[in-house]
Amino acid sequence: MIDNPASNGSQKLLQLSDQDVLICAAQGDREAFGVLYDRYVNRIYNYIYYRTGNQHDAEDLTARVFYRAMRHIVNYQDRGLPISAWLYRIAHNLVANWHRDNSRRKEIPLDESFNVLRQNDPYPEAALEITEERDALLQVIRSLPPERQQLLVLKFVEHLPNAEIGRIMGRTEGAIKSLYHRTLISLRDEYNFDLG
Amino acid sequence: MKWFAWWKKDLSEEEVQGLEAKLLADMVFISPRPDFVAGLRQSILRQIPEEVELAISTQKKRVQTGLLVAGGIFGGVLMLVSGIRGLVSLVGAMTLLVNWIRQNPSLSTPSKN
Repeated sequence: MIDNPASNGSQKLLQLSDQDVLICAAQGDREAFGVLYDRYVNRIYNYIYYRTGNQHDAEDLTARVFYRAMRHIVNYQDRGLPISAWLYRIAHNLVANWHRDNSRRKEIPLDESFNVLRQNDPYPEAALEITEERDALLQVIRSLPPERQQLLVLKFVEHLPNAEIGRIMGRTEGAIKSLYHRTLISLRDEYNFDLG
Repeated sequence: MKWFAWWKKDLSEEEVQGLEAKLLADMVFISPRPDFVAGLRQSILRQIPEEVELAISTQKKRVQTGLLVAGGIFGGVLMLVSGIRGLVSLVGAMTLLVNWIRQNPSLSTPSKN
């Protein structure tokens, strides 16, 4: 039986590492899973949002990621990878299934895609000016192969270093660098970015 | 050095900087709706004990099933080996008996008396 590192109080959970919190969560500790949820829900949602471009589907898939994580947390095996890698893997698989299931469905118009951004922006006029450009960028990114989309989100939205991205994506740091530059070349060549 | 040379050939430093600046500027972090986050949290935490108990019981059942299957396979192999050994013993005994009868013709030839 594994000792519960958080037996002295739920406040300590906040100071524990992901692995220790995971041990507690695997034993049915609600608060422990809540801590993991709080740490990763925004990142997972953000990742899925960029992959789907749709708020409603992003929310639906985010919920599925955490329900699936909850059901399989008992079977989680520590292979030296961060928990984020496990959650991103679940998210990646669910998004891939979502794209496959919806491949024949009409895409959501991009005008709807950044509604949240517009609503939350304190300067709506300025936000409107940059919205078209962002929509175009989102469309370009969503046209890339899944692994390149994942790389761009992890690098430019979450600002993770190449080594961490490599651990999440199951590749070496060198492979990530190579993939990154191939991605930049794709953006430049295939989509004719206006760098001015 | 090889990778660096390939990079320089296909993408200039200015192009890299321009692309990175554009991506950094436009790829903003999109936060989920707070009510969605709170609602999902509440919904998940409410189900945690049941789900974890279910997962643990499922895991136990899998282990039990695995042990049963492994035991069955082991027992079957043992029976098979025992059966083969028994068959070999039977054939050996029959061979010895036939040889012994052949060496004693009086046993196999009916008496004329």
